[in-house]
Amino acid sequence: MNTAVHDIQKNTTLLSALAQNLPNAYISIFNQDQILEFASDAGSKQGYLPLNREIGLRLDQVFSDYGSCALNKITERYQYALTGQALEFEVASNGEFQHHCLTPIKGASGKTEYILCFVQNVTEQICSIAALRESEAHLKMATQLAKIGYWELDIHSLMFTFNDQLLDILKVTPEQLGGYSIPVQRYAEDFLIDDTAQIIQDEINLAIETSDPNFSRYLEHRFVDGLGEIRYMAARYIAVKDNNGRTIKTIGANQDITERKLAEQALTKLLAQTTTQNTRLRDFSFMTSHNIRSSVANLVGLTQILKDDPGNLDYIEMLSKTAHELDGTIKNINNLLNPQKTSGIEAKVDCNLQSALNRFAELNTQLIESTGSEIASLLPSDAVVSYIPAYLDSIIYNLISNAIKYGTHPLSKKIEVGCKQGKQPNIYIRDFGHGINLEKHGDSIFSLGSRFHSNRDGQGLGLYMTKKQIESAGGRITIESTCNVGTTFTVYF
Amino acid sequence: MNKSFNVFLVDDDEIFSVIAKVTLSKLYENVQFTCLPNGEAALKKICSCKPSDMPAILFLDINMPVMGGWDFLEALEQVKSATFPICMTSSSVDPKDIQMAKENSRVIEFMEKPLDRIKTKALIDTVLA
Repeated sequence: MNTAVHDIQKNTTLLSALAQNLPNAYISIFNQDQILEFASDAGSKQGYLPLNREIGLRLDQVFSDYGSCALNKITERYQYALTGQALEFEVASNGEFQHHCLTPIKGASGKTEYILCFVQNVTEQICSIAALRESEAHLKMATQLAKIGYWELDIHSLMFTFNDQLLDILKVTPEQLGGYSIPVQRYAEDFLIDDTAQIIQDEINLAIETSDPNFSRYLEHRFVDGLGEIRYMAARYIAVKDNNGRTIKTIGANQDITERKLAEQALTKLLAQTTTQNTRLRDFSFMTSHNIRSSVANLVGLTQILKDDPGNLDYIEMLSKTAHELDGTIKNINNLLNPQKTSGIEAKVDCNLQSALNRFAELNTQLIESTGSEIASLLPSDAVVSYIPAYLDSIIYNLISNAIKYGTHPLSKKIEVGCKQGKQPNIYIRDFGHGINLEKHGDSIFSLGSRFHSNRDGQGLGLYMTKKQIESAGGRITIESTCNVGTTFTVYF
Repeated sequence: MNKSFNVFLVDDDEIFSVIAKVTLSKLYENVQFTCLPNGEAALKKICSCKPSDMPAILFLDINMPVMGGWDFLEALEQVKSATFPICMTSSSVDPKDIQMAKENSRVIEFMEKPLDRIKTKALIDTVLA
């Protein structure tokens, strides 16, 4: 008998011990007639392919419980091993996978006398590899769907390395970029705008300086993609450190959040608009109710004192004044609520500014004379604007009557009307009265309910309405004022 | 009761001030009025006031040009000599104003315009008592 074979026979105990220590494996020996000579204990354990491990059985009997396909494969390979060829193969049966490693053992004649078989159950490994492949595929799909791009930044060389998704986000190809790696500096120059480059630099410094083992950052920034479009990126990254605690690289996942960001911005804008509108409506309702109630309260009060003192002419005069105030308030509210009444119906026509001023003077002789106001026109006789005549008259009326009421005092009753130099057609109305402290009231001069003068009554509606009217026709109004010098309103059509 | 007392009316609405004066004069023979058009004028007057001329009560409007009622109250905190009670008057229906009036310790009453005779008499009687 050959020494090698002899040794094997002698050492079956050793082989059994060895097999026990190998996970999910057994060792067997077949002789040249394919008869089982030895099988280690592990081979019969649960969870294995059924194996008849009785010594003296033939190969096909040992593996008789295997499916026919598996059995054919085993028979064929073992026969091949008997020709002196070492080989390995895998076989599947009943959902289990086995890895067979066959080593022919030759006798003195050089002929194969035994096959030493090392068989391992590899079901778990194979399944987990398959699962891993599947989850990799899922991850890749999810990454593509979520448009997540991965990157690494080498801190030493300051080189970014991107994956395909990140290049998709940047809307560049590896060819355009010259590969998947570019220096930070070039990334900043090609894709970043505003102060984003500085933000990236600050983030790199943070990653270098951090001693936090769980260091993780999230930031959102704008960038310019390869097509020149401004978009938004969300970046989340961590720092990777070497054994000495030095940051060697940062690894991050970026996402294109442009759609979300634009929706957010639209929403914020809408909210701001709605809030402003709401505030305006609230102010409007309180102011109008305040104005109406003030007048009504006075009417009630006056009727009370008139009952005690019938025929008091002072009270009757006050009654009349209050009634007119109330009438004015309600007219103003009507105008404010239905500003479109005139617009759209009337078309713009060429209006001569001097003619409009003349109309005002004719219709308001009483107001001008009773206050002793002097209206000085510096309007060029050919100054013409394309405008809705009713609007122009209303604007001139509001601004000049305002100037008469609030912009004149006993020493200065002059009101100047003219056109400023410049391309845009305009008209200005200037008084030489007390002026308005614009530093104090500048923000609220055209807002609802603003009153600035202590000596006259006003409802705080006039300038607000004038401004709205001008703006609705596409123009604007400006104010300049100096205390004790005067005030100038300029309307640009 | 015969000793005369001062009432300050701080309101830009002259007609309201006239009505208030007439109403109060009917209730009390010995009342004297000082009408002030806004918070700033009231503050000036109070600062230059002799202790004997201080009002028994000050009726304060909220909505006034130059200096409104709330700004006046804030400024008045710096004036140590002013210890008189204040009645806010307004035609405003803003619940915020009513709430602010309740929270201010100087303000003993919030009255809607026009002043109600019975309520006003009750208020002034309490102040004079």
